[in-house]
Amino acid sequence: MGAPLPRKHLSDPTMSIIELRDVHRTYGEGHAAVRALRGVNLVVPPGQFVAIMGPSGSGKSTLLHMVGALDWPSSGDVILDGQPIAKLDDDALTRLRRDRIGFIFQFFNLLPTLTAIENVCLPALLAGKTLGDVSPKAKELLTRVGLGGRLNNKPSQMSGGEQQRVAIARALITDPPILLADEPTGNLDSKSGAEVLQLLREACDERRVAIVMVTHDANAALKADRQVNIKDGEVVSDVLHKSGQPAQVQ
Amino acid sequence: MLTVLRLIAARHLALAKVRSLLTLLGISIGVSAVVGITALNGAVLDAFNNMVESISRGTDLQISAGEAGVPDSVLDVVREVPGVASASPLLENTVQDPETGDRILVLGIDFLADDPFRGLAEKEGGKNIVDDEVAFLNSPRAILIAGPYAQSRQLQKGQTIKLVTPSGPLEFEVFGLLAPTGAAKAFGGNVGIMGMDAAQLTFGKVGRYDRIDVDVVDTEKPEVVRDRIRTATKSGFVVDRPKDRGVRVSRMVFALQTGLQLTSAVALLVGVFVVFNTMAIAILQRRRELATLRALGTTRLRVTLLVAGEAAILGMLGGILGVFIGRGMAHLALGIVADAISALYVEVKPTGAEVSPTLALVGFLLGLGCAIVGATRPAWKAAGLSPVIVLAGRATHSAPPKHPLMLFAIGLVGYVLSFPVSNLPAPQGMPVFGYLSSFMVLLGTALMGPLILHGVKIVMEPLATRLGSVVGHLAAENLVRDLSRASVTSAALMFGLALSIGVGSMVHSFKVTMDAWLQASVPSDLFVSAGSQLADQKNIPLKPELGDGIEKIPGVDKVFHVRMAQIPYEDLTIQVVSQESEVFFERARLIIRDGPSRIEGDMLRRTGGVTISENLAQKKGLKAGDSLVLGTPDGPRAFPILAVAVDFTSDQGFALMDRQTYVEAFGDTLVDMFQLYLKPGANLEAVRKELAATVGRKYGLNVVTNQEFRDYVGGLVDNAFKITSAIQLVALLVALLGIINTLLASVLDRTREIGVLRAIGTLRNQVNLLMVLEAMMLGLGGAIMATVGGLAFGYIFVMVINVQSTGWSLPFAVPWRTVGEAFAISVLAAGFASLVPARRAGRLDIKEALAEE
Repeated sequence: MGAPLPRKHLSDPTMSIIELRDVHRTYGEGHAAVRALRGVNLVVPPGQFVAIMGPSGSGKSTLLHMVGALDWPSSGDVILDGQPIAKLDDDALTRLRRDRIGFIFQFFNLLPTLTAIENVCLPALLAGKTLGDVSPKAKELLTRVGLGGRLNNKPSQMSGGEQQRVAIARALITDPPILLADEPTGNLDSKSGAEVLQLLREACDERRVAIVMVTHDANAALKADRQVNIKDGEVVSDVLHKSGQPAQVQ
Repeated sequence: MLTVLRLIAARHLALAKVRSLLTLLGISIGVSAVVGITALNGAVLDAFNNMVESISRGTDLQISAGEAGVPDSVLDVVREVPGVASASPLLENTVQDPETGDRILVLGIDFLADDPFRGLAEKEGGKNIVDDEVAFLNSPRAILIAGPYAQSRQLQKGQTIKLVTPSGPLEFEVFGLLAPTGAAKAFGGNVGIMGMDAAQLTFGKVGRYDRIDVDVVDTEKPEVVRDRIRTATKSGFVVDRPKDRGVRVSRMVFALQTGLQLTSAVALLVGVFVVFNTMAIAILQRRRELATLRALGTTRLRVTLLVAGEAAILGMLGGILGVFIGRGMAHLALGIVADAISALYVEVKPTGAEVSPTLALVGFLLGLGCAIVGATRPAWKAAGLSPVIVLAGRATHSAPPKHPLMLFAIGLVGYVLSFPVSNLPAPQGMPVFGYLSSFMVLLGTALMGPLILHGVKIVMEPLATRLGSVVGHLAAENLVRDLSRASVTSAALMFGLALSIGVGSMVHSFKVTMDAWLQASVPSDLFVSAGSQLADQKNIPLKPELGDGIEKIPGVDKVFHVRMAQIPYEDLTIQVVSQESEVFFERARLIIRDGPSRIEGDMLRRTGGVTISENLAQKKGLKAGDSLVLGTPDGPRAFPILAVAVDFTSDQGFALMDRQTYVEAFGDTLVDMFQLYLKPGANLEAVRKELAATVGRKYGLNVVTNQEFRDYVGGLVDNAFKITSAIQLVALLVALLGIINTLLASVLDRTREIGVLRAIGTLRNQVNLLMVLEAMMLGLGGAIMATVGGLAFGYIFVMVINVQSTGWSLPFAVPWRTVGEAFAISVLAAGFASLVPARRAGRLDIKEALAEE
């Protein structure tokens, strides 16, 4: 997938790219208050593939929103790429997402009016780059995900698996150190799902991207380096798949 | 069904507050335009009819001869006609109160013949209104003033009031104050009463009456007596029932009022588009709910009724609101319409525009109808939703693209067909087919919308991309993403703007041609008149001797006396203009349409002939060589028509004759205006100042220059279209509500997409820019459609509707300025309208947006 671009944190492999410290998130007030996260701690180093699992309503999505700079904690700290998000305003958060975080969604969420290559280029274009600047890289990424021949197809002309592969290429166009995937195989058949997971695995291995993937699928979780289980807003287990040892340093 | 309607439809309306409110506004503004204009039109005609009724007090027949009047000798002849119970003469004159500028209707009444004094109260609080009746009848300056007006001027019995009359400003002694009954309540209560002899003397109508009112004995039919009077008087006088005067006036103002009414109908049509748009959006957003209802066993019919019922609730509320807004609008605009009609046709003084219960009911039903018509297609589509497809989440968010080419072709057919339709003859002079063909081209343009929007997308995409990078590109793509919705929005905008461009074409074509006519045919340097700057329906006719001495003022070369009298001709009331034609033709030139290449010198005087306007020729099928037969005191008289010429004096028709011929024929020596030619090299301002200081000050006359005269005429034209412009603005506002509606719906419809854009790094400003650019392109599409439709409509307006309504043929002139304004307004206003939805889009909660299905 090409050589990763130099990033400041990769010079220090011990430094975390994602860090959650005693994060609480409560929605609503009084009797109607819902405590979605209750003191979650999570440290993810660069190049680690983390699967988040848990039943519906366990707080997986809330956790993903925190890591994606889409939500703020009620208390505790969320530090992404060395920056505490509580100190950032909306525009700064948006730029952080645009430049340092890639997103992959369950329903692909490609823009229907754009072609595959335009969809891939979109985050870079939003950052002010021109199509001429980024299209070589977008072509390379689309070729890498097996869609070199479908550059100018629109989403409606592609299968679900193909659309998700375009979404992966889009997520990688800015060389983000963090990639978030929300049920990336949830809407795919098993073959396409396996292909998508393989691409994520490769991105992690070859580009040292930290991946946080929310999934219900235990088999999908096995592709990750580490599995964090959440229940009722708390981390109930956190293990490294290769060693079987607890991963979280409290 | 009602329970379902209450549970689902009513609650949904309450939940979708902004959309419900916008729809409600769309309907109510459309309804208010119709109700307001109808109330206005009614108020103007009611005011005239009330005036006629108050003064004539149920008289059976009226004898008149326009402004030239009826000789007093006719009275005795009429009294002898079998079946005539009584005949009483009347003089009607409008004067001006120089202190307040108010116009007052002064009636001359023969108190000896008139019993019981046209409904005037003879006593007030047990006391006679006039203490010394003999002194009142003998005084040439005695007047009775209606109580309310006297009160507003703090006038007491015995005091004097100065009034501008044909004899100049004169002091009148107030002999009594009239209770507001009978004739004293006419003309909004601004009424004065004089004895007949004094009135005739004051108003330069010695030996003439404006009207003779006739009561018929109970045993005779008025129609029979009418024919006897016609035979006995051997004249071409108009003998008709009082209500026929109202009919004559309504015929005069028909074109103006119909124009206003149709403009208001367009505002309502735009309202229908807004409903259509809103309901289509509502269906799109609630397809899951509707599909669930279908899955639960709701029939297609019930779903249709549910959606239509929801629209009907808004329609009824909008109708009620529209009636109230319309009432307010009518009150606000009453003065403007009354001014336009008073200046152009007949002086009216409406006191208020009321919405009758019937009109209120019509407004309510229009609101309801507008909502149901607008909701029909969306309701039909809602009923056709497949529960299986929708509940499985397979229904597309965007409406499938229509077939722009096919729709364009159908629209083109509308255009092609409009031409033969517009050429069909106008039934009873009403340009029904002209209006129908206008509607066809506007509807045709609406159908061309999808292809035009595609064109806008293709052309504007590079510019939008340059302006907003990928955001601009997305905006251009979004424009054609839901083509049906975008097309309907642009079409609504088009209707509002096309009306402006169409009416603008008419005004511009009219002004360009009228300017050429004024230059050629009205070359006088200075104009002297009383009561108004122009010899329109509001000026006060003057005695000719008031002009004595004008010629002696240094710098003045020639003076001629212009009389502009409204004279009945068949079913029309035409303007007969007379002046010393040899003087007039020293500089003036007629733009001849039929007849000799030039009318000059003493041709009119020598032949006793007339030139007529082309609109009169067109309406009555007259041509050079024919005769114009007018009723005169000596019976019908045929005036040879020497030529047909361009003239815009009256949309009813115009005849020009020599003053000598006119005075001989009608016995009327009054003058509406003195027109002056100055000597070469004379200082215009110096002469004007001298005139103002001498005759101007002495007789209260206005002195205006040729340029001011032209500006005043231009102002009259603008005034006549002022209400139309206001309604156009209303239609435009409704269309802009449609844009807000569409973009809000777009935000709702694309919530998840906007969420994704925000998640992957689109700044709020970029989201705002996306919405603004999309709206501006939508506005541009609307402006292009409006230009195409508006110019086509304008062409039909000028070449067909105008010709059939007024008989004036005008070359079509493109109102480039109006077109430019339409573009600027459409694009900028659309961009402005998008700020609300843009703000909403920028502030979407990203995680909630991503959770949207």
